[in-house]
Amino acid sequence: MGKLYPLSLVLALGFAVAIGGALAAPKVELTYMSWFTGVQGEIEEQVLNAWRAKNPDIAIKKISPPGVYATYQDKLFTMIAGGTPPDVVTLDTWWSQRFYKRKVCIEISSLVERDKVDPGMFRDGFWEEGISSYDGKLYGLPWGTGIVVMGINKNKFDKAGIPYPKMGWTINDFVQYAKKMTIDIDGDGKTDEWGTARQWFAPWIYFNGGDYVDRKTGKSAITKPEFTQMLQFIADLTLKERVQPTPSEQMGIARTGVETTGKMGMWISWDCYLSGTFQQMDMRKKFEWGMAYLPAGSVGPITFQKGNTMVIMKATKYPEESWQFMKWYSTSDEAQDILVKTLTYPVSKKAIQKEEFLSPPGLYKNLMEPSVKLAPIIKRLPYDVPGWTEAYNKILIPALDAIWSGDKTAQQAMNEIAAKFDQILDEEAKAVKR
Amino acid sequence: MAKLRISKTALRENLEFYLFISPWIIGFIAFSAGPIITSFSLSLTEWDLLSPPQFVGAANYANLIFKDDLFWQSLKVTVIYSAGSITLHLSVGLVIALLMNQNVRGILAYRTIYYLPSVVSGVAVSLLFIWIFNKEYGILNYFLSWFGIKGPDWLASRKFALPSLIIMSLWGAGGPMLIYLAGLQGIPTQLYEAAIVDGAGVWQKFCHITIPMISPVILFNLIMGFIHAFQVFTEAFVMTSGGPGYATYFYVLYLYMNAFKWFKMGMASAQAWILFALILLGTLIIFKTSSRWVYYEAERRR
Repeated sequence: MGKLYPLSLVLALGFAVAIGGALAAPKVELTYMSWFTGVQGEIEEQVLNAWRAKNPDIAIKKISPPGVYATYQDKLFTMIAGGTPPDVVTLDTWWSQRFYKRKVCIEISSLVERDKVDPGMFRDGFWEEGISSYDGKLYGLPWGTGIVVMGINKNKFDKAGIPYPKMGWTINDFVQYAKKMTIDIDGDGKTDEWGTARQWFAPWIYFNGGDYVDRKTGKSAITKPEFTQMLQFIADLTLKERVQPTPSEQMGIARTGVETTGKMGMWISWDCYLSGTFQQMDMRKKFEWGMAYLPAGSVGPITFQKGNTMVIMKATKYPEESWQFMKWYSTSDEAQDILVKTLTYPVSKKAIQKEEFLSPPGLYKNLMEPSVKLAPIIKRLPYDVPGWTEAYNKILIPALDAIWSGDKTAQQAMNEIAAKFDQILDEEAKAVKR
Repeated sequence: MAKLRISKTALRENLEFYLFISPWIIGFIAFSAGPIITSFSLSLTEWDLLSPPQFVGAANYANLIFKDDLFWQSLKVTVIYSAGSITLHLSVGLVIALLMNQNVRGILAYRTIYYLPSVVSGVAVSLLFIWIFNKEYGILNYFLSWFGIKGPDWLASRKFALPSLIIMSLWGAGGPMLIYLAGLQGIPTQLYEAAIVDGAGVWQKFCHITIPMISPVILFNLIMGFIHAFQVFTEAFVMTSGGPGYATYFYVLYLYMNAFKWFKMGMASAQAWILFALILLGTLIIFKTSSRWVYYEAERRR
């Protein structure tokens, strides 16, 4: 008995610890996958910690492929193909439609209705067809969505004696400003500072009323003058105006992140990239910067949106818990306030109207005003047109090299590829019907 | 009785043989054979990873061969690259090996230095060459400027992008060099002594002794170079993304794009099998023609 007593004690203690552990352990563990890593990942961790503190029974395990965004898609698709998808994932609108079309994520229309999630609570344009829904059914809530603004280097504007751009400034103003800010400082015949960085061409096409696809017919619109004029305009910023560097020249300034060098006057950027990342990098130590409206083209002032979505995978064992987490992240004041504080892609309309978002402490008064004011006049890429992303990457992008180098005019290049572009759109449209 | 003993020995040897190669066999079955068979079955389907594969028969093969211009463009680019890079590899590798075969002071250090680039990661080399080929700031154009030549925008020019990558492939010439060197050191010196006695010059010795004696090594380097060149990927992926236009759109880059950008796994699998067939065919042709120009000393003796 004397020998048995300590053994019984150990067993009893072990049993108690096991029971206690089981009682203390969360009832459910959700896996959540997003591509926010580095600084953005640390900020997102704050959001997740807020959830964990409030919901001890629903643990969140975040999965983020190491490195860059490029590996995210591969990892996610491989997990799905392997039968082990995460419960909640973030999708890039470039390829989210594929998920909706294949119905691999849960339709949330009834949940939205049940819990009375108000679409009007989100920033304008963040709820639209093509961002989080397919074929009239809703699959995702907005996440990590931003709009396009013009980043400006205030020091360069001041030095050139140019006023900061206001709502309604024109494309012609843009060129004139860029010319004034393009300078050869040491007089060696080589430009040292540039008016503008190499452009993402999409917003410019929309400034001019152009589009990649005729949204009514589903056919390509890349040969229309509204489209080709702006491609030519961007090429000419380098070839004729010399206010924008060639790829080689730009690489000499910085292989990536050229806007952070202080050698560019203006550059197309994302609102929350500028505010959040520039703040994290303490960019003001290097130069004074700001956020401006986009120049108005023939259709007047507009902006341009890029959406991302958060969805629940169909294979989840915990659809209700996943929905609760996703809804909290996307709609709760608590989560959105953390994103506002860190200026990292808040999606709620209420959040972006807060003073600390509009005029972030330590930055500039009314810094985010262009982002907020431009939001109601958003244009979107045709993500919801079947085959568009493939036609864009496979056919359009390679054809641009000849325009940028001046070997072909934009009209010639687009005329040459239009049939192939349409062929992909047609094939995908037929595949959808099948 | 003697027969039984031999059988026992043979049995033991067989057992030992299979025991020693079993790690490879197990690895092959577990990690290679399955994916190989699966990739063939996938090549007969339409599969985007998100929903179950749909059987489409030989449609992927037919679409690639008869409808897809980019398939033929990528094949053309790969064939040109292979021809250029293999020729450079074989010739420059041999020249370096001949130099490294000299009996001079510090030759071991030189051999190491020339081989070192071959072990550097392809991505690192690609990033390095992006700078070397930069029009404005690259060392290559700086060097050309000494001779009054204004160098082109190597990687941005449709005319020069592919030749740039062919030139860059020389970076790996250390690999064939090392194999050539082993071959050169295996040539009996009495052959050269006899040739000198017969009055042969340097060129004659090279053409009639060196080349025939190392022809099996040339064959090996040719086959390995051919297989490697047809699978080139990293350079285009990191440096040019297949551009400008489709000037450096290599076959394997297109395969990767189909698989991991557009998630056409069936199409990509079909491409992989076509590539396998092409490499197999090319290798068989090289082997078949090798009897005309490869000299095997052992065969001669038989």
